[in-house]
Amino acid sequence: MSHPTLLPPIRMTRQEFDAWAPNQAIPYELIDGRVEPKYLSDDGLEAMAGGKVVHHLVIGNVSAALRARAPQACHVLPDARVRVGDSMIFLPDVTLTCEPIRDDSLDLLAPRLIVEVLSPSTQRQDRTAKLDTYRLIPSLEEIWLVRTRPRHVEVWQRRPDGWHVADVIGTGTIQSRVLQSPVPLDELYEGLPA
Amino acid sequence: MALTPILTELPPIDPSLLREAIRASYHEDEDAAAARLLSRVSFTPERRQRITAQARAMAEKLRKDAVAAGGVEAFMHAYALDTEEGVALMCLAEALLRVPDVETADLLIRDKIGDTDWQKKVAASDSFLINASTYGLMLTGRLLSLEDSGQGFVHRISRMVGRLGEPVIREALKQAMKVLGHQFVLGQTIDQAVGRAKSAERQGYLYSYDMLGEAARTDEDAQRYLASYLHALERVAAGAAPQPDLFRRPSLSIKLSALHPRYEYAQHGRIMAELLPRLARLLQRARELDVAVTIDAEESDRLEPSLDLLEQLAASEPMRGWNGLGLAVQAYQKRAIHVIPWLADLASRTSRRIPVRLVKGAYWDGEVKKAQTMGYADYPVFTRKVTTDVSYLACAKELFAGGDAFYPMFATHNAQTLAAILDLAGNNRGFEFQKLHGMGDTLYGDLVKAERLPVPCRVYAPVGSHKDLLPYLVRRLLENGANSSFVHQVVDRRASLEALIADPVERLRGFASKRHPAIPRPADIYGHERRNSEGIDLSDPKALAELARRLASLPAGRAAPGVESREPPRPVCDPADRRREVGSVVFADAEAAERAMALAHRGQPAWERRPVEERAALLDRGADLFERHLAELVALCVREAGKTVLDAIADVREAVDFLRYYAAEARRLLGRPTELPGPTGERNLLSLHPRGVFVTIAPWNFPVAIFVGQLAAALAAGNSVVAKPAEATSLTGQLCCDLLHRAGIPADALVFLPGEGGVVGKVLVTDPRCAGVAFTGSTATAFAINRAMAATDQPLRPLIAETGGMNAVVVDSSALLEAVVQDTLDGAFRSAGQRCSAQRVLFVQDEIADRAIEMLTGAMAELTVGDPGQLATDVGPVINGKAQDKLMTHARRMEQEGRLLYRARLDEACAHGTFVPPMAFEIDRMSRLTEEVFGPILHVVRWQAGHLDRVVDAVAATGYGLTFGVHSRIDETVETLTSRVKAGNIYVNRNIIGAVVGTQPFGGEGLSGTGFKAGGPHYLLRFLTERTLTVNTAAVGGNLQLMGALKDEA
Repeated sequence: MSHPTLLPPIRMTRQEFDAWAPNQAIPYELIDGRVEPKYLSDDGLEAMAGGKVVHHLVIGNVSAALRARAPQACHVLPDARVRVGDSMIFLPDVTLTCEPIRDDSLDLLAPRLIVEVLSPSTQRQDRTAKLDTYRLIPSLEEIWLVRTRPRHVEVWQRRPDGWHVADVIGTGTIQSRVLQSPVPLDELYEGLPA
Repeated sequence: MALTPILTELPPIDPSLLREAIRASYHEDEDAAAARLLSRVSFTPERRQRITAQARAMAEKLRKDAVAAGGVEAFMHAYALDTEEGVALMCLAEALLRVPDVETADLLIRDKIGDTDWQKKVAASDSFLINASTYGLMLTGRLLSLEDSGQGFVHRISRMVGRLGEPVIREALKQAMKVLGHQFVLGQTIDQAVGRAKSAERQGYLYSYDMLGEAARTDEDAQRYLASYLHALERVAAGAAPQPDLFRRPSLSIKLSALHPRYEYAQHGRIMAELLPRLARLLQRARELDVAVTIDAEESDRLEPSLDLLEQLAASEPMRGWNGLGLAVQAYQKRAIHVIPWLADLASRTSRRIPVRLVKGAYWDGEVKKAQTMGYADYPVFTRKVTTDVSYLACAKELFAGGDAFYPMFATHNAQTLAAILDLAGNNRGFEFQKLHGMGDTLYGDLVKAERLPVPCRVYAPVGSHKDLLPYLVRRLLENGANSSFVHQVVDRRASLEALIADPVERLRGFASKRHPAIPRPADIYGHERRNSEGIDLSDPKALAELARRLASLPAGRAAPGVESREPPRPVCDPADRRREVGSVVFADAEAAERAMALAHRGQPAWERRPVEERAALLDRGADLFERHLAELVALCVREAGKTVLDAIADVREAVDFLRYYAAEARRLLGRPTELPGPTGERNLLSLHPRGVFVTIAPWNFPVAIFVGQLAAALAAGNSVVAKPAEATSLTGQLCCDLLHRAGIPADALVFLPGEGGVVGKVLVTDPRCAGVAFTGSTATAFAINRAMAATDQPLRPLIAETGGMNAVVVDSSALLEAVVQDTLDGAFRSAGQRCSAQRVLFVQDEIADRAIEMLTGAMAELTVGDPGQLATDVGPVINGKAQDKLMTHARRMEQEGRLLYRARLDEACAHGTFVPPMAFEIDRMSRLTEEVFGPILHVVRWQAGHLDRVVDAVAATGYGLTFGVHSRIDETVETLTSRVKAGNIYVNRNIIGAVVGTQPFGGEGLSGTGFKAGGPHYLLRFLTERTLTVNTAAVGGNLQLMGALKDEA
């Protein structure tokens, strides 16, 4: 399989990005005005149309776990666009929002929980850089950073005194403040090769 | 909005599959190329035996007779590689005859004869190339002392100097050099040569005359060479005995680089418009006289244009059906095997027979060095000698297979090759052998005399004055004097004769890796520590087409600070044409600068905590991304900074090298603390730590390399960075930062801050969170930064400043003028002179000044000034109107105070850009220059022999000390200058620009900067602070270590 070539970091305004991104074969995000592909090869040198299978497996598990525990009238959306200000458009792996969804909505503006599944290689440290930006979203209450291997979820939660982080590992359970019940890690990693 | 496309005017590409095959194998992987050769040629065991038997007979006879016969081979036999005579004489032979003045000639002689340290010099260089050339000239020493072979030549001369005095020796040596010349040059004039050929012709030899001289620098030189070729044609025709067969008559060999001062792929348009008609005229006369002409092969980057020319000539009406138009093919090139089918096709399309001289190739060392320097994917030539031998046989087979398409001419002194060719020929008699004048006499002598050779042997005979001998001689000696050469080994009794005559096909097959183990791929020359940056060969049509494709449609640039700024976007213009917009930039306001410092300050602790390996890995990934996006970076360099494509590629490559080099340095320095010695009972550790937030302030002249170099060093050390690009090159800076952010460097570790120095500079460098400043730019700005930093009561912080230079090159009369001129053109006018390292002054010794100026101005007239985005352009615009005004004001002053030697013409295409024509002025003293002249203006100052001190004083008086150069063959002169001149980067017998990361760490002293040198082993230390940690291990009750030692004793 040949990979799509990595574009140079083109700079776009949100309007330009809105017109351009939907026509692309691979998913892009707008970070600080910089167009970046969502998926990169392990060496960080190629843009990819999607992640590895385990990555999508975990996304599926996360979506199911969230959907089963989401509050009333809330939605769980994989790969939906989330907009932060005018120079940031993200495609988080899974987003939970309780904002009303209209037919012509392009972006989610008020996510409550965002989940990013990190690839096993250390190459994707740049994903963690998004954390700073996510934390600027006023509606956001919780961020999960899920590693596919080893079993490890970083859970960031907004409290009145600021953001707190907890590491959940092994066979632990995530005590979410958004969801209606705790999530055991076994559920998120179900089906993953040992 | 899009960028104005770049490289839109490229040489046309012949789409035929045969030409495509040639292009595709230019830098082919060596294993693949060798495998193809092996599939093309092999011998059955019986044939192999037959060939070996014949080769053995010849080689044994050679080994026996050559030494006894006292030929060139004997000298090779007699000399070991490390005799001082050879080295001394090589230098003398090369330079003495061209030195016009007595003083310098005597200096040169004393220098070469008086010095007894040669052994050390030879030993100091383990390059087999250097030793090979050393070896070459050794045979001259033997030649000269032939009549008195009991003693070393140098010692003999040394004694004579004392006895007879210098004038006698000077004349004697000049005579001696002429004797040497006589060995390798058939005659000083064509008439002399034709006359001298007669006796060998009677023995059955044929001749091809080669008029010495190559690589014309000026149009005048080229016209002179053309005239000499035309004259030679007449004399050769007149002197030839009646003979109906064209291939049995004497012929002429020509070098295209002699016929045009810009015979380069990049100047394809001019080659076709100017060189082609010149060549057509020459060949038409050759046809009228029916004297066959062979076009010699030169450097590998000239192969493509030579084929284009041949195609045109072969198809032209006056050449129709003539069999005298020939070409030399170099077997050491990977493309050779593909050139032959194309030639066969050309022969059939134009109904002719093409004489093809098959050679092994004489520019091998230069090709290898260039590919490494330029970071090409692989070499255009084979790295193993044996592969070249196989290629030679494979090509020979193709030539024979071509039948009537070719008249093959096999140039070889190798008995194995000769035997194999005779075997491959079968009953074919339509070919000849060739040998060099002065060599191979023993091998061919008997064969020709006894008529044991079924075909004739032609002598390739150089004709010309002895002082033009050098470039030719060095090449010949390198080729044949090399350890690996047959000629060398056959007389060396230590070398196994069986190995020498072994079938090269079988030998090559035996190597698991076809690449020579000592010659790694250009990417791997720095070993495991880091990869060499990838370059693009601009003489490679395929690489060029790919680059042009990527440069065809790029979006305009955009830049904005990594923090909020209230400034409005402003347009960025192309310096080559101010009407063109390149993009837009939002500058930082003072508050943005403040915010940037705050952001970087917040991000620094986390960045510092990352393990050094992780930081280094991110920089390495950044380097990979820069290589991946070379085209985009080049495009902005060209359109925003006005750099030529060649310079822009070099700029990006240097940035890649910086990233990898500082990553490697961080791993080396920051791995673990150093344990220090001290009294027992305590542990002492020294460790290095980042300082905090670094402010980097970059110039516009290397918008990628210097901008990235500064911030990469700071980041590698663990500091966070607020990176301010030059105002004029913000777009390029933005792309660099974007790539580094994409590589994974956090947004709060690297904060991009485009802005005007006047608005943000002071805010940044006086901010209490600023822990250090790295600045490159003018000396005046460095002073201002220093004052601003000093005016606060904050902790004293380091200022690393790289500033200007007033750089001079000193040339004495022993220098090779052609090299001086080329190096001066590069030093003074590349990048429109906008390099800190650029040459501003040429100090030239009075005796050769007139000739130097003539050649220099002639060469300046051949420069192309214009759109830097076109391949043919040598000199682009200066950065902006302000710079242009300043340079033109300086030029007006120079016209008053000095003498204008040359001013290039600017054509209409330059009207809308900020161009300054390349200019040269003669001035009486360097002190006419009071400040750095940052543009394409060169100053020439004469100096009088014996007054080197005055030159040194003049350079010192400027107070600057960045780069400095010497062109001289006299070690004493080189030593005097290099030891007395205080400059950061000193270059001998080359240009003074283009320092390479890790190889020539760059930076000056005095007014030129603070050091440490960028790209050097100490640079990173300036971004670090040291801490020691002392733990009293005896504090907890006892010194266990000491007590343990006592116990051991008991």
